[in-house]
Formats: sequence, structure tokens, C-alpha cells
Amino acid sequence: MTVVEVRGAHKRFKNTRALDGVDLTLKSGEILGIAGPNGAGKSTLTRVLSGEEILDSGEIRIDGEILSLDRISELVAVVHQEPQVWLNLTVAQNLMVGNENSKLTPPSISAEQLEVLNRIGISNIASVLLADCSLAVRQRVEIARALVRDARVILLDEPNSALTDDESQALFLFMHELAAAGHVVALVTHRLAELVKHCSRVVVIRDGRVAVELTGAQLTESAIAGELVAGEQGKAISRKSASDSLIRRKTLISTSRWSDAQGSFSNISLEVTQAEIVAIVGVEGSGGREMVSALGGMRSYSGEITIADLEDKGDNHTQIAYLSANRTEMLFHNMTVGDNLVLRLKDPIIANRFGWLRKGNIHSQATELVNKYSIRTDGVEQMLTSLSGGNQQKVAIAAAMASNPSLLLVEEPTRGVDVGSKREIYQMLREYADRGRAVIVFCTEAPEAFELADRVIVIQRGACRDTLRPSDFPDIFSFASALAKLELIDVAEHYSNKSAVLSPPLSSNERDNLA
Amino acid sequence: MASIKVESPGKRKRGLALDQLRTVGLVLAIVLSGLVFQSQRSAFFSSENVLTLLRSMSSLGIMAFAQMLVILLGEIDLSVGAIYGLSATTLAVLWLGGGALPFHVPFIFALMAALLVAVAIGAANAFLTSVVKIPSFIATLGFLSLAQGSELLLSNASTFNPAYNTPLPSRGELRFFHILGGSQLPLGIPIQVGWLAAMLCLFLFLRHRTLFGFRLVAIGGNPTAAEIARLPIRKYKFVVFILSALMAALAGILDFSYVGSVGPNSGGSLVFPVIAAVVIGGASLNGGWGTIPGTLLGATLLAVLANGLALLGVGAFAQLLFVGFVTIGAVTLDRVTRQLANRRSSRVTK
Repeated sequence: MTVVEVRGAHKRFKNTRALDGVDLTLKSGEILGIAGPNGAGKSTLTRVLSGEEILDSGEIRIDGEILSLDRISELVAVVHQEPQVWLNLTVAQNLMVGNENSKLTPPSISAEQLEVLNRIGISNIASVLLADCSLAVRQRVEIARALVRDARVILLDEPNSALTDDESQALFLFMHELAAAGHVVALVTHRLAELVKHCSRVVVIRDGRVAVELTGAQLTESAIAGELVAGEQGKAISRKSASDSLIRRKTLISTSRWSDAQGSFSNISLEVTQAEIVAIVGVEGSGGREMVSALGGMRSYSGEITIADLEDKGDNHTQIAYLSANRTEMLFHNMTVGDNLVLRLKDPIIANRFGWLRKGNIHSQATELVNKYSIRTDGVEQMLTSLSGGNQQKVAIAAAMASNPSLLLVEEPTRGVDVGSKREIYQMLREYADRGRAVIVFCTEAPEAFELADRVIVIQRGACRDTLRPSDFPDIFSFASALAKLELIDVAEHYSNKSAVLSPPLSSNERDNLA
Repeated sequence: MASIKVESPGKRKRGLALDQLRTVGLVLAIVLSGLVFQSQRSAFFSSENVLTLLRSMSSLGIMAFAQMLVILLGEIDLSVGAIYGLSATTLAVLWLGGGALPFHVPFIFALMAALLVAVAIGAANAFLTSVVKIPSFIATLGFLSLAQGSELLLSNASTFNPAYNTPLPSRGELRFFHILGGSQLPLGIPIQVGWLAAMLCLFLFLRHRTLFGFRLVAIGGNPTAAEIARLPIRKYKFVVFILSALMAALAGILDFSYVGSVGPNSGGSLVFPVIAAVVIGGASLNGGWGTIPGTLLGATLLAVLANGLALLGVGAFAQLLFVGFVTIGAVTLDRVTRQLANRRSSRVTK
């Protein structure tokens, strides 16, 4: 019997309170679900629990004892979306790393390690190179490594976001086995249906605290969905629909028979008009995110995309500007705020036609953007890294808007951003759309889609499942539960008529290697 | 998921101070080592020796400026030393005849051919790096060997000396050849110092005053972001690798002109000092950071050491030791200062 107790956990990163007094108990034998909107502190909690991060105050006791970081990271294992394993080694060798038990001779697999492989159901592929194995096998190897070092606590952080249905089902079955064997198991996920199906207890983390604990009959999807957005209630979500000033709205972009080259989505017809904000919503792996990055030119596709010409192009006009979800992928940390803002601009503005920089223009242009979008900085000459996360996000969006694209694509516009900046970013995007341009955002959170979009397209398994208009819903709760229901149908289909598969399905390579 | 990382607003000042600290440190190191040499050999600060020093660093400086742009992009060009030798040898073989070729051509064509060879290698380096996506370390290492081999095959490993060649080139050609790298400007300034100054201006403007330099910093600092912002990454890589190769060729030809002869495997030992100068000058091998003034100071420090140690009569072999120590020492010092400055990070990694 193992018990993990978290008491009064506080953790802050400079200006952000990531954990603000978390109290939580994890017991062996049960699967604890952890849910929460982005930026609520789930990731920080996982890192703190696994000894990757030190608490500012508060304590973590495992079986009543406060342990050193090293000891914690031995006892607690995290199964990541991207398993931390060695692709250049075989399955068996992966278990041996760090547990070699030999100094002069090449390590060989020990009896315990072999037993773990057996238990996990991958001993038949022990000599297969991990690079040739599927993601599901890699995840199992990561779990196996944890079991070899006798970890008592297993945290699964969005473990099945990139797995196929069969693979995730097998993973969840194994998760139940671990719990039954007396391990402490916790599951962090966005998929509400899975929380309800697999967890006996679910905590919702909001603003760095445990907002609510749901068990038994209370544990339903709509209850979780309601709790996830409850924090938004007091903030008086005021939806603004698209401005009516444009009487005749032109279709700006349309696609036909539009399919991803790698099969993430197929045969999509999408139309977006001027002054419209469209939110694409879908769980990881649904193809929604891939659609946005394909529109942004970052993935190859087949089919047709038509972009209409704008009459009022504005300066520096480009057709499409794209912003990825990862802030570090969009910004230049070795440059100043001003340089980041003007970087997408071209000839007449920041340089003359001989390529000579016009430093005065850069300065005034950047200052104008800083004022226009109220980016909080001591001046455009500051390094980008001096800004808060929210302001960096605003810089990225402002830089894209400065090139006046007909279509602005933003993946998760407010990921990792504080509430105040969120509001400002929504306003920025709405004002931009009101200038007669189209905005497409990819959202993972119901409140964001509700507040921001005129139209919400739900993507499932590479196809449009449904379209919701937030204005048809009286409040965020009804909207969120409508979204959750759409997902529920999907997950219900996942689990119907499928027999339990204990060991993960082999990839073709694994089969080849066995033969 | 990315954690929210917020850094204190004092960072800008700290960043600037670090930059200035490095510059001040380099200038101090140059002045101090100069004073030490002066105290031992009073000839060190004589105008004659200073001009000699500047002339001797011109090849290093010219190549280092271009290398800095390559490193700013996050790439590296190891083939510069070999291109230096191959260009001079190509010029010599085509112009003077002999070697592996049964014919010879007028000087101006030979010169153009020598530069074209460099452009071709630079373009090939860029092609392999940006299209085939081979790491530039490997691609340029390959061309180091290819260029060296071609040089030896082309010249039959012999030495060329235009002034004593048979048949003797025309006087006009010889004169022009001599003016390139061996003549003097007014006030007794070697023309190579003039070339160094000209290239310094060119690269100073290119790096710090043009859209080209601005975008180089961006591409090197974050290639993914540059792709998202649709910057012309591939084109810039071609330009930079070709510039690097061209500057190596220029340096090789100028030194050939100054020395008056070119032998097999010349320039082979230049790669290390060139990269060392850039790195001592504060550029990051990860890309995104680096300045031309810094590179100039880095090259100057290396030249001062080489010159001073030679005055003291320290042999060439021992000089190699010094250059190695200084390079490692400078970069270590830089790293340590940076870590001290960043120590107040709240993030604990185990």
C-alpha cells in the first residue's frame, strides 16, 4: 500500500503562480484522473510529483516520508506523450541502461528485467530495435523501465494522444492492471470520456488549485466539463459576434477535396468569409491541428485551396500568416521586441530596395505596433526574453498581423497565457477580423472557442463532425457540454465491439523482426 | 507542454552588459598581451611591427568575417583552408602552365577561374546543407578533403613562383599580380591591410545594416520560426556559403601575391584560427549570436599573440599551444560568466 500526499504545494515561476496550494492524496489501487484547462498547473503538478521540480513551499510525502528529489524520481515514473527512451537500442537494452550490473562485459538481461518484459507483454520483441517499434511499444518500454527500478507511482501524461484506438485500449487495460497490482496510478488527460470510464476519482485543477474532486455518481462528463469552465463564469464572458459593418461579405478562402498528404484529414470542404473567426476544435490526433498547419504551408496536402483577392490589401500584404502553438517556435529569443515585430515585413518598410535597413522606420513601426496592441515593454529595444509569456504571445500575433494577411491562422492562440492577456488576445483577433479578414484558430478548450469564434468546426478522425455556432448557446456550460457530447459519441464508438487486447498490436516491422 | 517562462525585466541590461563585458575583456586582453610583449621587446609597438601584425592578420580576418556569417546561421564551414589553397593553386596552374595542365591562359581568366572554383564549392556546400540536409560539418569536411586533393593533383604537388617561371608571364601581368597583395598604399601601409579594412566595412554593413544581416540573425536564432515567417532560408544559406568560399579564395590569392609563390597544401592550417577568431569574438556555434567587431577583436587577439610570441623567439610549435589555450580559455570564461549571470533561474533541474 503506497500513499502519496501533497500538502499546500506552491510553485511560482517569476510572475506566474503555477501551483497555488494544491492538496491531493493519491492511493494505491485506484486510478486518479487529473483534469484542468491549459495553464492550470497540471504539467507543473506532474513535474513536481515526479521530482523534476522543487516546490517553493508545501510538501510531498510518500508513505508519510518526505524524500529527496533523487529518491522521488526513483519512486515516481511519468509516462510521457513522447516516451523518453533510446530508439537506437533494443527493447531489452533499453531496460538495461543504468541497471547494467556489469562493468567489463557487455550487459545482459537479468531475470527480473525479463520478468518485467513478460509482465508487460513485450518479451517476444525483446531484441527488436526500438526505432522499429510503434509508439505504443515505446511507451510500454518506458513503463517497463519504471517497473525495473521498482517505481511505485505511475503518472500518465496524455498518454494516448498519438495512439490508435486499439493501442490506447490496450494501454488503459494495462493501466488497470498496474493499479490492481498495488501501484499508485494517475491519468492526466483532456479526454473527458476516458476520465469517466477509467478513473474512480477525478480532480479538476484550476488556477493552480484543486477546484473539485468528483467520485461515484458525481463523476460524469458534463460535471467535469462544467468544472473545467466554471472559472470562466464570474468573468462575464461577453461574446461579440462579427461586426455588421461589412454588408456584403466575400468568401475569402475555400477548400475542396482537401486532404493531408500523411492522412491526418481527408476530403475537407471549408469556407471562411471576411470578418469571420472560425475555431477548429478536435482532440490530439483528430486532424484539426494538422489542418491549420497545412493551411499555413507547413504540411503538404492534396486538393484545392482558393484564396480570394482582397480589395483593401493594406501595407505589406501577404495571403496567409501562420502561428504555431509553440511560442518558442514562432519567436526569436536572440532578438529585441522591435525586431521580432517587424521581421515578417519586407522591402519598403524595413529596408530600401537595395536591402539597406531603415532603422528609423523599424523603430517607429515597432513602436506603433507596441502601442496599438498594448504590449507591455519598456521599449522596443528590450530583448524579447524580458517580456512575460502573455506579452510574448502578443508580439508573435502582432508580428503576423503586421503583414496584413487575408487569412490569419493561429494554433492555440492563448496557450500558456494568463487570464488578462487572454482577453486582450481575443480582442486583438476580433479587431483584426473586423477589418474584413478571416481568422482561423485551432482550440483545445471549450471556453476559448466559445468566446472567440463565430463558428466552431468539430474535427474527428480527419473529418468534419459537426459545426456549432456559439451564438446559438445561452451560456458556456451548454456549449461545453454540447462539445463534450460530440466527443462522447466518438469515444463510445471507440469502445463498442472491441475485444480486450492485452499486448499491443505489433507494427509490421516488429512482425518482420520476429519472423 | 511548455511551462510559462517569465524572466525578470533586468535581462536586457544584463544581456547588454555581458556583450560589453566581452568586448571590454577582449580589448583588455589584446592591450595587456601587447604590453607584456612590449616590456620584453620594445619593437612590439613600433609602427613597423604594428603594420606587419595587421598585414599578417588580413587573411585570417577576411576569412573570419565570412565564417562569422556562416556560424551566425548555425552552420560551420570547415572547407575554407582548403579553398584558400585550391584557389591560389588554380590561379597559378592556369596562368603559369605546368602542373597537371598542358596549357595556360592569361592572368585575368585564370583569376576568374580561381574565383569560380570557390563559388562552385561554396554553392555545393550550401546545396548539401540546405537541400540534401547533410550537416554542414560533414559536407564542408568532405569538401576540405576534396579541395585539398584537387589542389595536389592539379599542381602535381609542385611550387609555383611567377617571377621565376618559364615561360615568364608578361610584365603587365606580373605587375598586376604583385599589386593585388604585395604592394603598398601611401604611408607604407601594406595593401593587404587595405583589403582587410575594405572587407571589414563590407561585412560590418552586411551584418549590421542590411536586411540580409537582420534576417541572418533571425534564421540562425530560430530556424523553425524563420520557416513559419517564410524567410528565404535556402537562398541565404547559398549566399553565405558562397561568400565564405569567395573570401577564402580572396585570402589565398592575396597571400600568393604577397609571398610571391604558392606551394602544395598552403592554407591547410587556417581553419582552426578562423573558427577560433569567430568563437573568441563571442559568436555562438548554435547560431543567432555574433558580431563583426567581435570577430575582428578575436582575430586581432590571435594575431597579437602570434606576432608577439614570434618576436620573443617562441617557435611555431609552441605558438600552437598558446593559440589552443587562448581559444579554450576565452570560451570557458565566456561560458562561466554567462552561467553566473543566469544563475538566478528559479527552475531546478536535477
